[in-house]
Amino acid sequence: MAGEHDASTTARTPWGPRALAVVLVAFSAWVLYSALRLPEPGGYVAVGPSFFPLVIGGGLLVLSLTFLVQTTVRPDWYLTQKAAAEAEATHWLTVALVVAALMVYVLVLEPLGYALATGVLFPVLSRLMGSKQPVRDIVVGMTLSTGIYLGFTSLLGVRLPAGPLPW
Amino acid sequence: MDQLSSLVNGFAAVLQPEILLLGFIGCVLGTFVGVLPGIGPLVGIALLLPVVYNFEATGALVMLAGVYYGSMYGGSTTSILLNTPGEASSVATTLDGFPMSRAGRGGAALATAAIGSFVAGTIALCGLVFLAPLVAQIAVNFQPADYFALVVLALITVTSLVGRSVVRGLISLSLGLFVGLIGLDGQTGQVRFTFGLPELYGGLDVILFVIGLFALGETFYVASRLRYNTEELVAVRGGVWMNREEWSRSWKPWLRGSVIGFPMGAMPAGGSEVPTFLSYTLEKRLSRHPEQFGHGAIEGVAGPEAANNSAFSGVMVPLLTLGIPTSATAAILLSSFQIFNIQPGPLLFEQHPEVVWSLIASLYVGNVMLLLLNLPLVKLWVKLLEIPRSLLHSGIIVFAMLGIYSVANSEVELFIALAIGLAALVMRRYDFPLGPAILGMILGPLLETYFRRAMSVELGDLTVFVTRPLSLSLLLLAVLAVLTPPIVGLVRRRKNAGYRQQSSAEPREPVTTTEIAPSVQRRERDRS
Repeated sequence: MAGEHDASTTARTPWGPRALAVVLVAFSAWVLYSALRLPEPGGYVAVGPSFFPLVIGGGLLVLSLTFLVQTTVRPDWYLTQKAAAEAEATHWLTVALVVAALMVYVLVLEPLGYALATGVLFPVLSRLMGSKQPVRDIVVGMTLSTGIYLGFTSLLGVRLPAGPLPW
Repeated sequence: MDQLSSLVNGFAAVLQPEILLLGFIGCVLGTFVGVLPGIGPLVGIALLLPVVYNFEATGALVMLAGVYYGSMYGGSTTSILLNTPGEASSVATTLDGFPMSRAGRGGAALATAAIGSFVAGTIALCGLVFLAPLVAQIAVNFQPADYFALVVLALITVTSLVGRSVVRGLISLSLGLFVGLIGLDGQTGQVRFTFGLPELYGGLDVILFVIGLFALGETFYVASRLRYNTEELVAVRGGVWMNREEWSRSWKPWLRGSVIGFPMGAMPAGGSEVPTFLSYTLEKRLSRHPEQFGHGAIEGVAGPEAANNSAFSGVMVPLLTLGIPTSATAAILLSSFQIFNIQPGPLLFEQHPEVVWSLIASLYVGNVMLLLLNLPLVKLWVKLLEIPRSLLHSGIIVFAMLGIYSVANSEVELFIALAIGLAALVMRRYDFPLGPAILGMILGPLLETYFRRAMSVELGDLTVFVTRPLSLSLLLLAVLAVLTPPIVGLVRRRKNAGYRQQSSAEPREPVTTTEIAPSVQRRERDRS
């Protein structure tokens, strides 16, 4: 596949790296702006709290602008190829659903308890990533989550939320 | 022979039944983590750290050493059998390891990797025992300005030697440095970049950052393209042992790899990617059958694996004597030392000799344990790879979330970890190396501290960095490290321009040597 991309297809630059470059420029500008607004402490301090943030923000801004140039005016050959290949192979919906599942998981972890929440999470994630055997996944998930819960709380002394189950 | 008696004491401290048991558990868990696709020693240690919080220091360090060696070896296993290197340092292993297992010699490749690592570990231990106290003695005279310059050099060289774009490497580094700023400023009590979240006053937890960046980022990445992935697992046929010819072809590469790896790891520009490729190149040059390389030459597995292991022991030199980690894995080790109130630096050998020497001994014990355990058990580990990918990755996410939960104090931090995972996904897609971000996050605060110490000693006089010969030369080296790759690229482009047809599409050459080019082919293969 890589061989098919030659000089003619490089013109079709994916927008991803450019968007990222813009985000990075904006982010470094924000870092610089926030650093400038950090109050200087009273009394003599050789290096105040805003010095390093300013250096890092400034450095990041220069680098992000360079990156912007590399994605627009003088495209980086390798990056363009890689971004194009990635764009073809990425299934964003899967990522979005996995992240959404994890966000719900974080929210229900306390009320449902670790074992139950994880026991549900596991088959859901497996399904999202292409598994076609829900029964097996549920059994594996429940076993795994119960094992982790008991092992961590009783053997290792790590606190995990118990939830409504009477452990 | 002062060091020898200290080392013997170290071994005596480590060779206790309960400590050996912890080492054993560490090895098993580490191999487990290492065999899982996509995650390596770094994530292994990060996941295990919350568990060892309550342990006593020696036991915990032995366990972490076990995790480290276990996951390294687990990583070699997947490189050889699955062609998926977990870390940059095992890329070289895949080049001949995978063809070997296709040719039915996977068992021999695994054996030469394990025995080579053991040989390298032994040689590097000798180097470490004699070099580390020496460096510590010299380092006693280092001023804050020198330390500052040293950290700058380490950050810059690691960033510009790894990966293919200096700019993207430096952006990753700066993002890490930014994350290191989050929280209360230790000296002035000023709150910086906490986004109004009280959870962030203490700074972002290193473990959370590592797991978010590597474990979640990696699984998100895999999830994003799972439908298109086809991996080829090659079964281990026959025994895990080498025949006479393979022995005689392996032992010299082991020794050469060890000798290359240790000093390269010990330099501030440490890391193990460069030594593994150097070893690979060297073996190819010295071989009487260079045409076999890339098609299953055992030297191409033996050398890099030895170099990889020996470079790690080399990395321990600046880590223990100067407190400066020169690779992402060393950086997470530094944070684990700090959990046990061990502050690496030149005084460590005087103040806590028992801890240092038992750590050094434990590295060796971990190495031996691995050889005894994993070679016979390799078929069991390979079974792990037969678990369906979807379940494997769900499991990785479950453990990653568990690791994050155990260090997080609130739901907010769990959400932050998810956001870091997404950021890592984007970075991976656009070829930003992730290692520099970890180094930046851990070394950033150190950099600021040394800078402040230097400034308060010199009353704000910035010229101290250029008037002290040591700090000046270190900083000049750092400048050189940034400028070399682009200049080399430019010169090469000029040279090639004459006979290259498509001048608009200039392929950027890899940054170090042309021999690193195989890694490009690997990435190309990844994509197709």
